[in-house]
Amino acid sequence: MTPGTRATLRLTCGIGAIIIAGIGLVAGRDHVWLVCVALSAPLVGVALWPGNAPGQPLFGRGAARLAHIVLTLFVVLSLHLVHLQVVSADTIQTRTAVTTDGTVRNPRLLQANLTALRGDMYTADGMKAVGHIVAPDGTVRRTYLNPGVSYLAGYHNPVRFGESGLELAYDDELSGRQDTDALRGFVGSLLHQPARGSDLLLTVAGPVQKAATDALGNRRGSVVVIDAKTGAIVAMASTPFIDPARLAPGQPAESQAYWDQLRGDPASPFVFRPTQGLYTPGSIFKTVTAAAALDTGKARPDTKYEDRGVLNVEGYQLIEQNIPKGRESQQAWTLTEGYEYSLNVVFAQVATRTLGGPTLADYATKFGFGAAVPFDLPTNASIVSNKPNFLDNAPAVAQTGFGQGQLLASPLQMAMIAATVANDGKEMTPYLVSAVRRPDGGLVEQHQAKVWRTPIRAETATQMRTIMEASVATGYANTAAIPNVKSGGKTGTAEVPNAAPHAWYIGYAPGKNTTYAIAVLVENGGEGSTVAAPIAKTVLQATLTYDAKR
Amino acid sequence: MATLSRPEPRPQPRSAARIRSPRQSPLMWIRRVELQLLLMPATLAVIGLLTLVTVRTGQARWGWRDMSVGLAFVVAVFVCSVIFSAAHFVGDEVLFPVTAALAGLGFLMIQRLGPDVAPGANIALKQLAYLAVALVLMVVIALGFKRRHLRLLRDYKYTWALVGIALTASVSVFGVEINGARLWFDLKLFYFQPAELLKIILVVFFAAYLSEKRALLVAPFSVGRLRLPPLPYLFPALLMGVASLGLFAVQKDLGQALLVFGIFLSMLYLASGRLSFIFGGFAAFALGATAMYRVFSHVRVRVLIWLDPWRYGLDTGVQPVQSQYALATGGIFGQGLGQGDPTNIPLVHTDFVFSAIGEELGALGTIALLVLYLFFVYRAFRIAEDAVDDFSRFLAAGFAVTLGLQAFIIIAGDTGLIPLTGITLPFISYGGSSLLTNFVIVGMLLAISGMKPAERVAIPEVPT
Repeated sequence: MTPGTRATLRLTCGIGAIIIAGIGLVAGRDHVWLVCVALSAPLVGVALWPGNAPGQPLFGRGAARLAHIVLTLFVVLSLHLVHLQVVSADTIQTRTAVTTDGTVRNPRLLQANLTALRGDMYTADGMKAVGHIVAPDGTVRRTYLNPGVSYLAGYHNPVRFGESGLELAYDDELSGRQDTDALRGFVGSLLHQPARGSDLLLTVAGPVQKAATDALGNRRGSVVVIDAKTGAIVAMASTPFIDPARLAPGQPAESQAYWDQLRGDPASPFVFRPTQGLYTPGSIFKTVTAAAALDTGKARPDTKYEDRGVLNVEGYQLIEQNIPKGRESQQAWTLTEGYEYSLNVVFAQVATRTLGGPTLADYATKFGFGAAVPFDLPTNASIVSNKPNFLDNAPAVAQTGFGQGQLLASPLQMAMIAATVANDGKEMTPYLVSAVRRPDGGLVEQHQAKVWRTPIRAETATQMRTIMEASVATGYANTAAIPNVKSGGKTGTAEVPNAAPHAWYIGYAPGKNTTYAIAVLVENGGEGSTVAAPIAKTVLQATLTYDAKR
Repeated sequence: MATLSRPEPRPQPRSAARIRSPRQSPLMWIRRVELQLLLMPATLAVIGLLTLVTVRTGQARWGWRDMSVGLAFVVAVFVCSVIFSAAHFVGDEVLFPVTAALAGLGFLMIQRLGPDVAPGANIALKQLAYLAVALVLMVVIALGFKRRHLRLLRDYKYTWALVGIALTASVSVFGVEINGARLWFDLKLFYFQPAELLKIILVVFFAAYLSEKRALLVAPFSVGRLRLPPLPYLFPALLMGVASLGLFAVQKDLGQALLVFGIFLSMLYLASGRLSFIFGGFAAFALGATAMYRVFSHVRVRVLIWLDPWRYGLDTGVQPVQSQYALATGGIFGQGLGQGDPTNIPLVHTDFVFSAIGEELGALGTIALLVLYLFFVYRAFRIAEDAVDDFSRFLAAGFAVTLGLQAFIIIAGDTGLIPLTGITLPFISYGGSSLLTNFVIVGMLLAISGMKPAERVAIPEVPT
């Protein structure tokens, strides 16, 4: 072999080895990598093969070659280390494997989770609601300073139960795993600084949240208060709730007992009712029907409908039960009166004659039915009907018109409908976290108020407000009336099979610079006007008190 | 091979330049290079310990007392160098600092892992005691090992080999079982693994045998027209090799078997200069490995775990899987000494020190470690080339291969490049016999490098 061909051979083998190793590194899969290493090893050997020095003794040449073989082995070993520690390091670190004995996980990730300085959560009034302390063993524990807010924050127990609520939704930010500043993250890891997560600034107002939770007491239900202008959630109560303090690490026996108790609880405390619970809305849905009738221009607030206590819709006999005492002789009712006194016969006619099934369904969709509300926590989509052709027959349309039929709605969705009326027809995207803030005060992200949908015109919203305010002033929603406040609202008593009806209330009350919308639901609570409306009154009063101090 | 017909020129010993006249100033005997190079392991030990002492983990695991243990090691290393200087020792000045760096890193890792793997029992102190004995042994051998001792080794090669094999075989009967393998004698002071001794003895045997039969090995051997390896002349060496291989295979000490096989092949190549021996050896290895895979279930298990450790990640594959996690977590820069969590790997201080280094010192640390081993191997080969006679030349080269291969086999096993075998990481793993053996090797290498040219003519060379 001439020196020239020898050099070419070396170069070819060297490049070949680099290419094969490169393919292996990119592929990253165990077996592909091993095959690539095995293939590139002899090529590395040829590329680095020592030449024969003239006059070199036999032993010297043999020793040089042996040393070279050791070198080749070590070069291959270095390549393997580059694969393990550099190129595929992140993949391997987070790799899990399911075996017959259980799941293999990197124990360091759990440890990192236990020792990361987890970010705190602050309520809108500037109070710390969820904090952290470093235990003597170096692990980080949550402290819960506001019981009304803690269940919204969710539990955090990486050893046993994982995370829920905001702890889960904002895990990356709270744990500090993903530093938005790449350089700072790199320097921090280089200096072995423990990760310090970012804080969450919540839109929830501590006093309102507490009032909402307390008002529900030991009843099952939900209260949602929204700032109608921005979509900020001022309160979001859900009962029964999970106390994250009792699921915290460090008390395995107690927390497991509590967990088991929660799992067996027939009241399903794991369902976060405001966003995940779906309920028949009942009469509060008349807000959508009325808004649709006004928005299409097919009806005005003073349009009259006949209600003689009974209505036959294509063979379906509807008995009116809501005619106010002393007005039994009245036969024609305006749309406003129908709304005030929640007259089912009136709304059956609005739905079947004024609107028709497709238009009614169309407006429900415009308000958000059929779509999961974009939110910081998981939401379930409210639905108009679970069969596509359900609204093809008039009785179904009539029932949907006054909030029964196959309708199912979440408290959040219903609160947003009230907020849309209060906000001139613009339905804002709701949000719970106003900002993510680094411990040094820098903002990682800040929520910008966004319009989600615009289901009705501003004029329609103005007309609807008049109607809803009449409902509070003189109608059945009077039990929610707050002295000297011009609030609007609607009660609902949703019939459910074989159980007491759900008590509902949706409404709004004006604050200094904005209007607060509310939805109250008490599962199987009974009458909306006697059960839900008083809760709404209490919570709205607390909201206005908070608003006045802002 | 073409070189056969040409008489080999004597290599010019590089150490000749270092020979100083005793009439010169006594300061001339100071081993400056060695002393300067020793600053590196000393700094490594001190800074490493400072890192450990200042590490904040919530609970104090290291204190200033550990610092004094580490400093004792640094002092011991310097004392060795001073003794070399005082004894006017002219041997290699690089090998010992490299060894000290490896041993220092190992000792640091034992100090780091000690409180986690054996809380209460100060295993670092124990390791320091082994190290002290090992250093004494090294100094004694380096200074006291003369040509007559070499001759003793060479001439009684069969005796040594039989003693080594007998010792290793008897461990199966009289030994104690640790972690499911009966490979150690309980000497009360420490557990002695005769396989480590056998490793040295085999190198001695091969070196003696091959340097003696070298001329026969390179001569063509043919039956009729067919050129063959000189099998009849190789028979005793083959017998010893196969006997030890079989012994290790039966004792399930696959790492030692692989190592001995590698040593045998390398030294055969050195003696014959025939690459065909190496290829033939690989073929034999493939056959033997296949046979063992079929016959021994424990070999099969090892291979299966190697191919997919994740499948057995909570059971038999827990070590390789946790080792991969540790190495990956280390990344480029490592978690920092004392800041990682390498004790997730069972037996991390004996079998998986390398992965602990990988987690805490990162890829930079592991690759630097590989470079240190390469330094050692190259230096040992250089000592071999400069050695005074064929036997010591083969001996030194054999030791070079031994250390290099042993480091490769265990590191490749730890990282999942080859199936895992339980041998120690030279100079670094926790354990007495391995440390002693490796320092004996260093001592012999130093002794070979320190043999004066005046002694060159003392015994007749075996004709080449």
